Amino acid sequence: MSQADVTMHGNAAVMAEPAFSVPAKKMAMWLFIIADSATFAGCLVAYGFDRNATPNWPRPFESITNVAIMTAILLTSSLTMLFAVRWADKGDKGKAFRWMMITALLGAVFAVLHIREWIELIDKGVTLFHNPWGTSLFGSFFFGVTGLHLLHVTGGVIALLAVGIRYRGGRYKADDLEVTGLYWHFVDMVWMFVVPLIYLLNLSH
Amino acid sequence: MATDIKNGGAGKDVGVYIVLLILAAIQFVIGYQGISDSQKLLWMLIVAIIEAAVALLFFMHLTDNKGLRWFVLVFVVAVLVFMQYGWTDSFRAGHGVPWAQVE
Amino acid sequence: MHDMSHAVHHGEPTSFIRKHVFSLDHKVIGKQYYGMALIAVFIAMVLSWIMRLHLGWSNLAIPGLHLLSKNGAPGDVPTPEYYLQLMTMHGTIMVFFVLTTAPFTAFGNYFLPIQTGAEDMPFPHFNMMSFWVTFSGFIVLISSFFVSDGPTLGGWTQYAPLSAAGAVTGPGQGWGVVLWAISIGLFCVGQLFGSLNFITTTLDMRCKGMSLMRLPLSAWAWFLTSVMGLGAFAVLMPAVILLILDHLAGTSFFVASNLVINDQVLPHSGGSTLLWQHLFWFFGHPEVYIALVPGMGITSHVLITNMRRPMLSHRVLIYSMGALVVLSYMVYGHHMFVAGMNPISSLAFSFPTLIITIPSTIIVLIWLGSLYGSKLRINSASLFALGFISMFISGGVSGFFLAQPSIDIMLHATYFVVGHFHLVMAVAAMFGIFAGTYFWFPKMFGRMMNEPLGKIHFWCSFVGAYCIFMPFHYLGIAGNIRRYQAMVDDYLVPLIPVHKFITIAALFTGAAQLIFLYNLIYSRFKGPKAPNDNPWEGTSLEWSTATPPPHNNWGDKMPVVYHDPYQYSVEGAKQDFIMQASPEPVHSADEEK
Repeated sequence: MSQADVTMHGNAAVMAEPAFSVPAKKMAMWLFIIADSATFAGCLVAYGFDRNATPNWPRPFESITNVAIMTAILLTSSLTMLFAVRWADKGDKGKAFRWMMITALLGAVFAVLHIREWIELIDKGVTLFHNPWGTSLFGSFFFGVTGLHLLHVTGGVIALLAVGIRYRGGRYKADDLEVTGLYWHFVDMVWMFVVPLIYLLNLSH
Repeated sequence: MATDIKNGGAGKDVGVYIVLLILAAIQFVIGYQGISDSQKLLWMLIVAIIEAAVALLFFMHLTDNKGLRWFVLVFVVAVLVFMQYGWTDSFRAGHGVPWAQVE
Repeated sequence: MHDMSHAVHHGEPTSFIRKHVFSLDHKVIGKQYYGMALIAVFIAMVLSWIMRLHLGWSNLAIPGLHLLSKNGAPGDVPTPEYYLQLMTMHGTIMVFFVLTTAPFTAFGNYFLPIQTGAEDMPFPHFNMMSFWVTFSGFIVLISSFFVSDGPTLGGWTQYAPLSAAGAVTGPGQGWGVVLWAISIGLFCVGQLFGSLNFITTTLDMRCKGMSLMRLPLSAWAWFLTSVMGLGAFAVLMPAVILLILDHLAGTSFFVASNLVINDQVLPHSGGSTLLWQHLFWFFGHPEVYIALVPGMGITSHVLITNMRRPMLSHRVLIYSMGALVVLSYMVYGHHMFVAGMNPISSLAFSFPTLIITIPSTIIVLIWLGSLYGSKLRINSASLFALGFISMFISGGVSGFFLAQPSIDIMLHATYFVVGHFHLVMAVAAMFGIFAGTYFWFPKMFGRMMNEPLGKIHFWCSFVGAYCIFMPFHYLGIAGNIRRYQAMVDDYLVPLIPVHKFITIAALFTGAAQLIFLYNLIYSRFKGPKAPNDNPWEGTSLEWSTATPPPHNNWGDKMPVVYHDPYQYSVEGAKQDFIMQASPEPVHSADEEK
């Protein structure tokens, strides 16, 4: 057996049943997700800590259209990811690969929209250490938290492409798609917390 | 393992997806209500937690595995809850006294 | 025993580089971690010698010190700032690169897969990266000695705003802090990779018959430690990244508005100094247990083997260690009682801090109760395990006092706390490392260490450690502030003889460690060959395999486990112990199913 098989399926001939029946590779992804949610939570708690302690926190966001579109795109990409895994389960490599690429494309669109939004804000004079509306912390936390998320999306797109292509080439199996999917859903899930805390609490009305 | 995913088909995925879209929309609606920030935060967080739970259970398939479900839940919730000690200081830094009334 | 059908993880490498440098073998990586910790501990020990000499004789010139830092030690006498820089580096190197790596990632890497019956960790490439990323963190940290104004002086906790406001706050507070933060960031990445591997090894890579409750206590300790590491290092990493941003990108996460330092108004605005402490200690308190719990596991494992009987309760010991893991996240604020923290949180932190003494006490009582009436085999390993218990009790008792905010506020900034954490965390963990070294050396290298030298090493270290750290408590009660580099106030001058005594004890104890170093190196090459694969007559899986274990740990046959980990003094058995991998039946009612 190759090592990839052992981490993916265990080796029932010589090994005990994995805890929770989850073999090593999927378990590692879950552990990564646990650790990463602690990382995100640390950043968001830091943001909340300072936002709460700062009087007159800036509320610059006028339109939420862009964020709403981004949210819809990211949610949709989770759905297409599920389709990819389902087709892979049924053994239809072509369709699984196609849905995987659609997922990656949606992720890329999300990243582009996000960067466009960043550029607009930078044009308005928002940087890590300065912004036209008030405390400098606004820019620090806005770019810090959304940047961390954007980093995860970018990494996710690269992972989707790499795993997808290798899946088509036969090196990765349906299970690898599912593990990648776990990561992608997690990135989606974090966005559900970033949107209300970073955007919706800072609406300008 | 991928073969564990037996219950439901693509139809269920779409259903869950629509539920998530609606929940996300509710967050945006809450954002525009004329209520205090703390109330807004409370409601949006509740919706976000429901969203996360739905995504975990149905997109990440924790419905299929009771043991893993408890492991992840206890681990994440414990770490996240223990992170919340700092708020008392946050309130005091902003308002000068412990548990100041927030206007 | 099963036949050849086991998984071949990765072929045995032949080139030197792949075999000894960029090795995927968990045993080699474990030894690399141990080697790094060994270098680190001697560097940090020399730093503490310099500090101690300076504290005892504040005008003493330490020959050659100006070579390390021209500005920091003009005329070979350290400046006050340089004293703080040495202290910071001593703390950082010890906590991160010795107390975390040696008992946890060094021994854990080597023995966790063997004790679970695995051929290797599931992700050997991550494992290799884990070491090399940690090692580069170490190099970055050491390199800060050689930047223009030396390493940071902010203490291993790097409290803001001192750490975040930049070079204006003192020597080493510019690039020194940045290098410190980069080093710790790398360390976090390395330990996260390590924790991921440790947990998946324990959960998913156990051999046939090895249920979780059949894992030896040392394996449980490493597993629980990696659970702590996963949450703790994941939060420290963003914290140090924010600190780096404060330095390099002009943000002010941790610096408040309108701060005046050294007659300069800082440009920062809006941040919170307490935020750093909350983020840091959320990591920092689990870190204390990350250093300590592996030592508990090693101590239990060593003691059981030498007592020839299991602990009073295997399960309760595991549950108590588990309780320590959970509680370790809940008590971090007891490090911040004097930080101007909200008094309400002080109360909320004090309560779990007192509760955490309950599982600690249970663990100690299980140890003592099991030891009572046993015919303990006295050797270097079991002596150090006893020493661990002694240090843990002595250091733990002062913890009861410090858990109360009202007392802690008086004692926190004094030597009392320094004595407390050195005994309970540093010396105890160090004794755990020594116990593990003497115990597992025959398995790792196929040679025995010198027993008489080991016992001399133990008694010198044991007596020495108490001579150093017990007077610290006295100094603290007398009001001696920690971090003072010279005792010049009227109330401190009479305490200088105590400091001199401590310095002499520290030099003596440090010198005793050279015995250990000599023993280690000599025995590695010239020590007597281990008589067989199981010189201590242990039962767990590491004693079932060849010495030293082959590349895939088991050769041709994967082990199968039939018993609980500690079947000693079994009635009706051929010997007084039955190994886990032995199919010989055990006729006792209380074996776990």
